[in-house]
Amino acid sequence: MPETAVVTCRGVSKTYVAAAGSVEALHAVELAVEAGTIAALVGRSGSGKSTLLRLIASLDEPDAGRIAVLGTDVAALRGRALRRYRRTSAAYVAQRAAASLVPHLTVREQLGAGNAETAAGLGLASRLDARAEQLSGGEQARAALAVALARDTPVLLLDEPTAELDRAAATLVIGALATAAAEGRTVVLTTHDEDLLELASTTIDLAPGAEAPEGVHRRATVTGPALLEVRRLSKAYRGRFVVEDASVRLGRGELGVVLGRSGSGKSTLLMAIGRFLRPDAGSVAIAGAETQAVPPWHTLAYLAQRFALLPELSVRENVALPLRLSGERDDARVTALLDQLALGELADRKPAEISIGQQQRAALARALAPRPAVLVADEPTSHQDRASAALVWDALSAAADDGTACLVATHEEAAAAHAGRVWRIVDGRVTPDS
Amino acid sequence: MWARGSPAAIEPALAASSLAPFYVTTPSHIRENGSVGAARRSYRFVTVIAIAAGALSLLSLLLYLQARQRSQRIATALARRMGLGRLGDAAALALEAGAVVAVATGVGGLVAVLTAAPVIGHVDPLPLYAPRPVAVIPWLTLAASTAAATAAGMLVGAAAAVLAARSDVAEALRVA
Repeated sequence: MPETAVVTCRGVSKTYVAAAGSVEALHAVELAVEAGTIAALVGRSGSGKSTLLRLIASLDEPDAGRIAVLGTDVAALRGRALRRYRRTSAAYVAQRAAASLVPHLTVREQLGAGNAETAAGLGLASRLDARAEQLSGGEQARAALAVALARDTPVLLLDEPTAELDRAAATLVIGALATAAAEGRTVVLTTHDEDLLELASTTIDLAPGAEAPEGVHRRATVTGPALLEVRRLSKAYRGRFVVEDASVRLGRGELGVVLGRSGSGKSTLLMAIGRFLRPDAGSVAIAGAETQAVPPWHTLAYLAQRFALLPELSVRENVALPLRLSGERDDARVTALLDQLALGELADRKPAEISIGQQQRAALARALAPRPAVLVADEPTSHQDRASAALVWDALSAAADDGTACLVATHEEAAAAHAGRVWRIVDGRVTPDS
Repeated sequence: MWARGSPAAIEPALAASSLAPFYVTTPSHIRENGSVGAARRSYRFVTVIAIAAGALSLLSLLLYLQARQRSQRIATALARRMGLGRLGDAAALALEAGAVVAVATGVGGLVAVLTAAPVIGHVDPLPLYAPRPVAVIPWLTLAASTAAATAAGMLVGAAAAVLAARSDVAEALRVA
């Protein structure tokens, strides 16, 4: 270990003990990060990246090993010293950026006086007076980073800082992190983002050997009666169209992707399709029937950006919930979905005992369990590494093979390679991709 | 000797008897005693504290339900689409809130009984006079207050479920 390292981990291990058994999240991890550099923790979903970051942030304690930041053993910190460390030495931004913000304070209030430029540099100039709870997921991620940067701590600990961002917003974040490192600040982050990995001077793989499968199977366009037909749908907030005149059509067994930047109207479009909000104009027909009623799960299943798994139930029970609530029982189907999404070994754990990426896959399995006619998925790979994202796309393809019409909204351009139909959404306007 | 009836009638009868009482007192004399008055004021103060504690518990329950409703409104909305009925949803929250209140009230009552037992001997306002303080556990009141609190908890829980069903899920999804 270099003596000049700002962050060092020696033989760090961490095991979580839960009712369903113990999980070794980290085993004898060694790490040294020099001042003014960016270190990226990589590895498949559930490999312990977030755990290591939380240990360095002193939000949790290792079972074995030593973590030193700026020469201080962080596990030994207590009381006032611990608070001072978190406040002045290491700023931490959680994977769910909202957890790092005070919901009822504006971005400007959280930044503190004289720090508005930090947020403006991250594309939030027009959102400075918005409360954190009013921001979109991508805006929250940037606001949380801006607050962390504004605190001017020598160490920044960032959990997936670009996971919920489109390329343009991610580029702003990457630029801000490059500047922070150039100014001598040390950044330790977890990421699956290739561009962010390029910026990192050190990459630590916590689960070597988990490679993404090669090749992508692009689905064919299917002709036939539409299972999901969106006609000229519009939705405005405060006089401004968020979705305007959008039309989307998917047949049985088709997988369609709506590509767009953060804030382009993707989620609003999906929420209108899912009848979570009422459109101002246009119609949504499922299996040929237009209805204003809330569609049941087996007609339209919805994977939101917030997974909303029931915390009291195990992963298996959550996945089986739509079947159970509709009076069905299909253990084989539940087990097959869990295995397909690499959740078999975690089936008896509670959602809080698995990673966010695993929670997202569990929510997808729950959506697919009753073989819905239509699946609507909002950013289904936003918290997945490459290998896990491939599992998600495989599951979506399998669902389409089963007859489900799958509509996915994402900012990831690579998603187009998996879809039979692709649309682009820019400022609420949806156009078929050529 | 204890006697029930009008002091005006009892005192001459006692004087005429062979018992030769040397001290006669009445409930009104006891109530007018300064020590007894202080003890009664203390108990009234404890009652006010108990009522305040009850109100605080109810407020805590409301805050708990509001926090729960906020954190689970998306999950609840999705579960409703999966087939969870309106009645089932309300019943689930009512049972949860009712169980929390029932357990809390039961534990509170038990703690009160257990702590009263060793204390009761030390709170005699007139230690020189018989009888010694007698511990009377108001089982009926305890049971009735537990039942009433549980019913109130269930009602509030069901109301919270109804309000949660009316909340703007799109807003919750938008800020995810």
